[in-house]
Amino acid sequence: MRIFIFPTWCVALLLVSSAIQTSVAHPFHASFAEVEWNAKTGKLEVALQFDPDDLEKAVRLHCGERINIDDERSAPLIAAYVREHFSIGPRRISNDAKVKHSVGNPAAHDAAASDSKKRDVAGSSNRRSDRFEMIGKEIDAKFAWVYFEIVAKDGPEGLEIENALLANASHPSNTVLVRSGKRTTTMTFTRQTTRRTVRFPDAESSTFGS
Amino acid sequence: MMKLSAQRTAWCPGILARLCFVVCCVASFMLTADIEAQVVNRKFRQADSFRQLDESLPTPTETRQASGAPGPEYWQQRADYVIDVEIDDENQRLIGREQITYRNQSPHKLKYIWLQLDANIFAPDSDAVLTATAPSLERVSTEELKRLRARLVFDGSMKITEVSDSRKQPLDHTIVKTMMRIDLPAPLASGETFSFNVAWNYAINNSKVVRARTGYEYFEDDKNYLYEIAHWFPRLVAYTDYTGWQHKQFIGRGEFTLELGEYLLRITVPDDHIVSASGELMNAEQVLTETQRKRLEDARTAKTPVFIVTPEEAEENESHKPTGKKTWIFKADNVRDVAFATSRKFIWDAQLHTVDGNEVMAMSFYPKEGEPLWSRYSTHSIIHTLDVYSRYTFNYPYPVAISVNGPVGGMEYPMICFNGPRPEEDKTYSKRTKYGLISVIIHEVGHNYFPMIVNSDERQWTWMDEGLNTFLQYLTEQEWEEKYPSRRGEPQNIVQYMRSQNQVPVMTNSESLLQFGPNAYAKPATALNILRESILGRELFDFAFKEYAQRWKFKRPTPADFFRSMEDASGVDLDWFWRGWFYSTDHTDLSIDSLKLYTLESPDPKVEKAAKKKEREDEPETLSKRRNKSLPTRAQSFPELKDFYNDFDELDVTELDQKNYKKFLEKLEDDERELLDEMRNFYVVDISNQGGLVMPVIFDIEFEDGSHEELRIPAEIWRRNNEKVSKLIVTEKTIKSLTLDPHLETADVDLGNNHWPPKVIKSRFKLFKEKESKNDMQKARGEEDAADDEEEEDSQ
Ligand SMILES: [Zn+2]
Repeated sequence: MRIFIFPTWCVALLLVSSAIQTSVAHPFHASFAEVEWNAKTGKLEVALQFDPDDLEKAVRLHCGERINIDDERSAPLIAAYVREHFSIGPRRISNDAKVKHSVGNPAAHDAAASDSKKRDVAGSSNRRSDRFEMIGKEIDAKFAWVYFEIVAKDGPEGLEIENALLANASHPSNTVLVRSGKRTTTMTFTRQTTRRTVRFPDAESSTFGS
Repeated sequence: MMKLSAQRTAWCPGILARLCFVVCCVASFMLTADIEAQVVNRKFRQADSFRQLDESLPTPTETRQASGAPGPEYWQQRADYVIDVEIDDENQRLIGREQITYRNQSPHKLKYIWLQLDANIFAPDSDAVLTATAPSLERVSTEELKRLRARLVFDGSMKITEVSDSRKQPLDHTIVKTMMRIDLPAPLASGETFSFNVAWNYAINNSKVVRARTGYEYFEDDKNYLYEIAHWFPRLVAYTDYTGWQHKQFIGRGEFTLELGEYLLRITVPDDHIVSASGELMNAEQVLTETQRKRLEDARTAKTPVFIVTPEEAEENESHKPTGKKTWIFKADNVRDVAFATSRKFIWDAQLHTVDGNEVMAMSFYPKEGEPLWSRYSTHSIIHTLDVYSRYTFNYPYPVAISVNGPVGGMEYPMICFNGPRPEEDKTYSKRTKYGLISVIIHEVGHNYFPMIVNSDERQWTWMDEGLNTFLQYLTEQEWEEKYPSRRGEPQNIVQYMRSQNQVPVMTNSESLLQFGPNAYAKPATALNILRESILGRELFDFAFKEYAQRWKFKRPTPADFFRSMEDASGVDLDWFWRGWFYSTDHTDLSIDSLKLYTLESPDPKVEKAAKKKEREDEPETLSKRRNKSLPTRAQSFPELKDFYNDFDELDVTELDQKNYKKFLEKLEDDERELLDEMRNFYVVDISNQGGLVMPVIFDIEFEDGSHEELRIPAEIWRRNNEKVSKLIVTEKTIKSLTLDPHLETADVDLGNNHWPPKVIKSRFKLFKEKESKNDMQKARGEEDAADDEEEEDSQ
């Protein structure tokens, strides 16, 4: 099922919801990713950290089942969730006025569930999900770590990161640290901004002291 | 890059500075941190990390003193409330009426007063809605769409039906979004009192579709409602010496700033409901059964929580229909707010606990959906919190402390808090849910101390209550059981946030914070933990922190009062610490750049020349020299060509050397001779500050003989140069390795430059992959072994 949404209507709706959602005990819903380029393998090695409660909630919502992320059987569902919401690849053409959007919950859209290509109609034909390889996960009471690799032959510079993790939580904040050799950059993704291009800061200008 | 050079010079009597020199240089790292967050001195081209904070803090007055204590002229307003409220369980509406007595204890004359109408945040045209910026529209879940649709038709704003004076005469009033101004018939002079009435009603939000700090939950299975009601009545805006009326609009994040006062609360609900509220129940005879009252009496001497309403009774209640209404009366003194919860679903347990002579009834209210988790952990968590927090601050002063399970994830009010975690439907629960519940109860009960009693301005500063509270939450968790899985508090847990770029300083208004949680909760909590463990030490810190809490108990502190109190009571200038951790976005990243070894040459020519000979012998033979060895030379053919110089070795000890040495020894003082005998090693370690934050330099020194020594240098080592410093380490032993921040106590974001000799620090990913692949190899080896076993029989 596809839903056709006029952007203006959609904006009004979302504003309302984001404004009043507050929860105070777990006041923030944050993920942190460390992305390091391995020149030998031509892959980006990603360690992604969540609050385990946030991850569980997100995966449950995504797959429509009350899974327990500690359970080994949930591993493919976690991988599917991360693959769908975190990708790195060539930049896509940005969407103009009216664009068809598919609903984020794959349970709601039949056969298209695992097909992220359809979402790419407006941009590159490269299927980003093909570049993704799950390596594993580690989950304890404090943190949940998800490890995966993404193919990037020429390194991360200039690639676009799409990070729409924890989008259903209030005020999600997804920080990504990208390391390529000695160069690093960090960027943060929110509900408002889910795509950013990797640019390393000019080392000269950001020197601490002189 | 690794560089090694060696140098030796002759001993020169009397001057210790002439030393031999071995450099072991690590590498010069690219300095990458940003100094924009600090004040930069253009001439010296460094951030003024040790610039005093005076220019950033308000001028001390007799209201708020330079010591950080409230002064002799300290004042705050007072508001007393009598509130009648009814919950309409048929229509999920709240209908209220209040009489407020406002006391102008300020030295100023007031022409008008302001009230907060927080429920107006639920108006479709509220600022919270209008000022929210566009979200990404790439993905919208059906869940989200459902919520959005419901929100579009919901208006939960306050309908004000009356504003009148004590003789019921209407008062002029103007509603400004979430605020309401009441124009007084005559100016209210200092010391005068004004009484007035407000009546209102509003629709209560369904927390499933409009998530907030308040709301109701509907249970499909038994068709019952559970209400958690907060910021529900028009409340006096704080009028303060530092900002006048604190009527910054309620946009959603900046919470509440309120006046302390006395409350009489009459809550009318269906007669089969159980009500829990801020305050002491005044009419138990009317609202509780005899059995319930008897059980409450038992709870006063019980060693474990006692059920006032048992799980069986609560489940029985679920199928009831009310026969009428009941009014529960509560009284609360010295509070800045009141909240309550009501439902016929509540299980209720209680246990009296005495905190240093003060009797507190610790109580929990929860529906069966919270079981078995809640009866096991909630009341215990309350009592544990009261014990630990009281030890670090002041005795819990209220008669009750309550934890309620309902739709709100976690929110605090005086004496009562709402906490969300529940087990699965099959009554099992994960380790995470268990600790999640204990942690949230500790956190929310802990908020009684900050900001309910130490009444900081939440609308302005989130960190003043959340940061301090999260810090104490960590200490309390660690006293719950060994290895408690605390998510915040440990410095290493904040490293990822600290190195991220999109940060603003902690000293930023609540609504403008980026990365809200890490900024206002985790960073200040971790900073205080570091201040306690690594900078002041526990004894000094605990004394100062307690002093701050006691000074500002039932009063309203500002950040300056906290910073000044901590310095005043600890006797330590911490301006650099506040500047770095609270006013800047710098992070900790210290680096060992090089280690140089200087050894003292022996003045004894026998020792020294022998050492030099050895050094000469150790020099590598060059390729040409080696090849030339077998060449016949002219001198071999004509021995007469050799003279004195062919046999003379400048490193042989001469008589003159001996004579000079004797003379030198005669000139030395006794202590100088002793010093020479000790023959120490002089190491100079160069450290650079890559992250900008000045922090103590903590070394583990490992010696070649296997022993270790810890060197702890205060952050003041950076006070003249905050980018590079060198430290002299004098020892008789030989250093094998150096490690910076060996106990992970400074939140150093890059451990890759913390070692000499340099050590490659593997990424989290690589460590995981190695671990995994080892398992795979082991598996593979297992198969090979099996195969080998078969072959072995053949071969042997
Ligand atoms: Zn809190």
